[in-house]
Parts: sequence; structure tokens; C-alpha cells
Amino acid sequence: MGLMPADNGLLRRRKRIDRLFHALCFGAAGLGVLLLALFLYKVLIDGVQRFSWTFIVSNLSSRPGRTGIWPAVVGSTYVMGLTGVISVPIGVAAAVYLEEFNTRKSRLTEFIQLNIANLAGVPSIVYGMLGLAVFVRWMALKETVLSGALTMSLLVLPMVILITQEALRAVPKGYRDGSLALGSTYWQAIRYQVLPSAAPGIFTGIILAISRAIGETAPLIVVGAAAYVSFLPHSLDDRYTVLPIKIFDWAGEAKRGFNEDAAAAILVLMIVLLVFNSLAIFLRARARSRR
Amino acid sequence: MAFASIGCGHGPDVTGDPIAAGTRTQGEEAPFGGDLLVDGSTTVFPVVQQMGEDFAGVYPDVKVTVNRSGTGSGFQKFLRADIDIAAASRSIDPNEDAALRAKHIAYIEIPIAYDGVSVIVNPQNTWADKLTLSELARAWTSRSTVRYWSDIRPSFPRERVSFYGPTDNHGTYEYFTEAIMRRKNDLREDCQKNQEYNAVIQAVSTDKDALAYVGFNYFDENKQKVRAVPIDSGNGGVEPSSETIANGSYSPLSRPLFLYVSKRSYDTKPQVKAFVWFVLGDRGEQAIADSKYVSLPKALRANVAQNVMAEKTGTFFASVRPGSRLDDLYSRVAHD
Repeated sequence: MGLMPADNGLLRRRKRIDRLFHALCFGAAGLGVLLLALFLYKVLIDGVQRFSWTFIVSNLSSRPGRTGIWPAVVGSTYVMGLTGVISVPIGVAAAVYLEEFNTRKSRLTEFIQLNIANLAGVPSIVYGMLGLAVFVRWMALKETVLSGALTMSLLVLPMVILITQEALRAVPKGYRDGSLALGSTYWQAIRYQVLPSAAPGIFTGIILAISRAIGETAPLIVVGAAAYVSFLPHSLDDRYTVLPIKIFDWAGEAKRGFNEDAAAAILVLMIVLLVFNSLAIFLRARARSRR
Repeated sequence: MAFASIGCGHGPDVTGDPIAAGTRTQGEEAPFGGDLLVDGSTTVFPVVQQMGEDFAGVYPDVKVTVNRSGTGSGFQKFLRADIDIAAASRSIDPNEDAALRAKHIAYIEIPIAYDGVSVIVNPQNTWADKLTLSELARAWTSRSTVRYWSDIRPSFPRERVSFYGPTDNHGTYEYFTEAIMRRKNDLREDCQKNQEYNAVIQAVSTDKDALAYVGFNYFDENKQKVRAVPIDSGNGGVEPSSETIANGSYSPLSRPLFLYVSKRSYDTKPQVKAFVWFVLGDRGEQAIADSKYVSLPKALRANVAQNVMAEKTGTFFASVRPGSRLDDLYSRVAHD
């Protein structure tokens, strides 16, 4: 079949569609970055003159321009640290059980698995209601660091479990079989072969889960994170506030000037987020190089 | 409206003018610590936050927590004895009062300031020189047939009105509907309700045909962006200002703000008692002025302080119509 002029036209049309598709995909990829850049630009413009070391380490105040953010930074770090301490061991253990020990899938474990997958998609406010009913009221933990961290643990657990499971699944079956063939127990095979190989993946999961949790506002408002505290939380039964709540609060204040404080607090939140993430990335890199 | 005076505590450790008590303790060594928990109205929050902040400056060992869950939620927490003080942008309602009585939770009611609700329009709106109460009611009621400005008053232009206001969890919403429509929750459906007052201000500043209402302090901070419509309740148009709110001429859209203090906390936690007297003192006054709320007149403040001194519990305002003056109520109580 020779190339007819009509075919040439068809080819041009197909090429045009190809270029259009390319441009559309580029636009889709660029849109997110563009919006993020715009947002960052706006936040920087608004927040940069308020952003300083003094702002970070000063107490909260009702006077815009004089307020700091330190109690919220400490509160966020405290709640998130505690959330990690609670949710990571439980999450990893649950994932190990579901992946490694649960070889003959029973109805019950499949039911658990299905529920975990569903829980990962539940809106965060629902966890807030749950935390309010169970931790704050029923267990009478009041509106403290502990009840906040427990609620946030519920929120991140499904994600930690699912991603840890993915990581465990990626470990070649030969590692387990080899280890077991050499006479090790399941515990030894998991502890010395499987978990170390899965560690980078697990750390990625924790990064994602904590990154999500650190910006969460809704569930913490429901379980009663305060809008103002005059002190730094240092025990489990202290009241607390967190960064996103202060940002939310300041954005709605009548007094002018709090807008700039909110923008500066967003910058602080982003830095805290970066610190958390780089820590996890560092741990991941170390786990990888050890292998 | 009876108030039972439970016990006869010793009152705060002051001599002479009780109002000065709050400031008197400033220079002294802080004799106590412990926690002080306040929750309630979003409207009252900025004031209480500043009071708490300044109080913690004087008593650094006291752990002050102030939250803003809303007036209703604040009373719920008060009922569970989770907090020492409930901040409220309206007086306690009879149901809440009954629930507290049932649980034997006595409270001291402290009006701390006045706030106004401002009806606002876009600065380019040149026609709405003032609005009467019946015009407002006609425009805002849920059964309203008003679509154009000319429906509110025939001399207004035939432009579609866009309505804005806060969401119904705000005390301001409740107060506005009760003051204007004389009924709870009676507000037109097509009003664009927003959780944040700043969003309402933003919308009105860009919409020539907007009609909205916000707390007075939000208007006061945004005088370049929006204009407040004078309200005519029979004596000509009155603009909202500190003066008209304080002297009662901006009626019925001015309201008292309250703190409800747990009697048990007041008796057993010295930091709570100290905070109450701090609030009634000069630093409390300052916080009220800084947040653009309106201080109670001096005579009334003295009245309030005397009631707290006598540790009178219960509410004075159980069935008060919006727009009533605290001065009148207190003088009536005094004559009982």
C-alpha cells in the first residue's frame, strides 16, 4: 500500500493529536506545581516579615505581631512523636501478622484486612469523633496530649499497616525460605531477614503517615486541642495546641496582622514537616545502605 | 429569676474597692499554680485569650488554657465539669440552667462587656442610608419574598440582593435572628453562610449588592472594605460604634458577653478566684478595649463586682429579650 496524499493528511492529524495529548499531560503535571508555587509565593510574601527565630520560640499572644508559635511547635512535635511511638510498633506488628503469619487466609483475617483498607479512606473527622467518644469521654483522658496522640494514632495506623504490608510483600520469598531452611524460627527469620529488607519501605510508609497527620486539624479540634495555652506541654496529661490549629485560628481572627502570623506559621509548619521527612529519609537511606 | 446564694465564702482577699483587686496582686510573689480551663464562645475568645495571657504573665505557674468550641459546646463541657469557666456570647438558656441545677453545679454569672452586631454593605452601596427593624426583618426572615433591593424599600435600585452571614453555630447568628425576627433560627435559606467572619467581609467588599451581618469588631477592623448601615429602631438611624453600643442607643443589635464561673472552681482553685478578679480589674478592661468590645459602664461594673463578692450564684438573665439593657436588669434585681 503506497502513501497516498489522503494518508498524509491522516498522519498529520494523528501527529497533531499526539502533540495535543503531550501538551495536555504537561499541563496536568504543571498545574499542580504552578498552584503550589503560587501558594508558596503568597505565603512567603505575607509571612516573611513576621518569620524569625523570635517568632518561632516566643509564646502565643493575642497581640498580632507580638505573638510567637513555640507552644504549638512543641505541641505538634510532642503529639506527633507520641503518635509515632504508639502507632509504629502496633502498625508494624499488625502488618507482620497479616503478611507473615497469616499464610492460610481465614475469614476473620480477611475481614480484618478489608476493614483496614476501608479505614485508611475514612475522613479524619470521623477519627476525631471516635477519639472524643472513646478517649476523651469514656476513658476520661480529657483534652490532653495523650488523648490527642491516641486519636492521631488511630488515624495513621491503617496507613502504616497497609504500607508496611506492601513493603513486606516486596521482600523475596527466598529470604524467608532460606532462613527457615537454615533452622531459624519464624521470629528469627522475620527479625533478621524480612524486616531489615523491608525497612526502607516501612520508613517511607511512616513518612507518609506522619506527614498526613502533622497537618491534620479537624480531628484535633474535635478532641479539644486548645486555641490558646500559656505553657509548654511536658506531661501526658497537659493541655496542648498544634500548628495547624493556630494557623486556622489566626486566619479567622478579626484583628489585622494575624494574617501575617498565619502565613509565618505556615512556613514553620512546612519546616517542621521537612525536618520530620528528612529524618525519615535519612533513616531510610541508612537502612538501605546497611543491606 | 431567683438566685440561691450557696454558702457564704470569704470572698476575695481584698479591702475596699473590689475592682482594684485584680491589679493589686500583680507585684506579689505568685502563691499558687495549677490549671485554669476556659472554653466557649468564639466571639469572646480573643478577650479571654488576652486576659489569660496577661494573667499568666502575672502568675507564671498557672497553666492557662483557653479554647473556642462555641457557646453551646462550652456549656456542655461546663455541665461535665471539664472546665472552670464557660465563655458565652449570650446568656445561659433555661435548659442549660436546669441541667446544671440537676447536677448541682452552681455558677457565678459575670457579664464582662458589650458587643454589637453590625449590618454591613459594600462601600459602593450609596442607597442604603439606614434600615429600619421591619425592613431588616422583611429582608432576612425565612419567609422573605425580598429578591431585589427595591423590595426592601421602593426607592432602592432594582438590583438583586446577595445575603451573607455567619453559620448557625455562631452566637452572632442566634442573636441576630432573635433580635430582628424575634424567633430562633428564622433566617432566609439562600443566605451564604460562612464559618469565618473574614470570609463574609471579603465577600461583601467585592459584591456591590451584598447585605450581611457580622460581629462589631470585624466591621471595626475593616472600615475601609465595608460600610455599616445605621439601624433605625424608631429614633432615627444609629451607627454602630463604641459609644452607641455602650449607651444603649444601638438597639437591639448590641448584646452582653458573659463568663460563667464554676462556683466549685471559684472556691477550691485559688487561681480561678484570682483570675475572676483579674478580669474584673483594669487589665480585664484593657483586654476588652483591645479586642474592640465595649466596656460596661462603671456603675454596672461595680454592681457586677459586688455580686461576685457576695458569691451570688445562678442567672439574672434567664429569660431576657435581645436588646435589654444590663443596667435595667441589675437595677431590677437590686429592687427585688
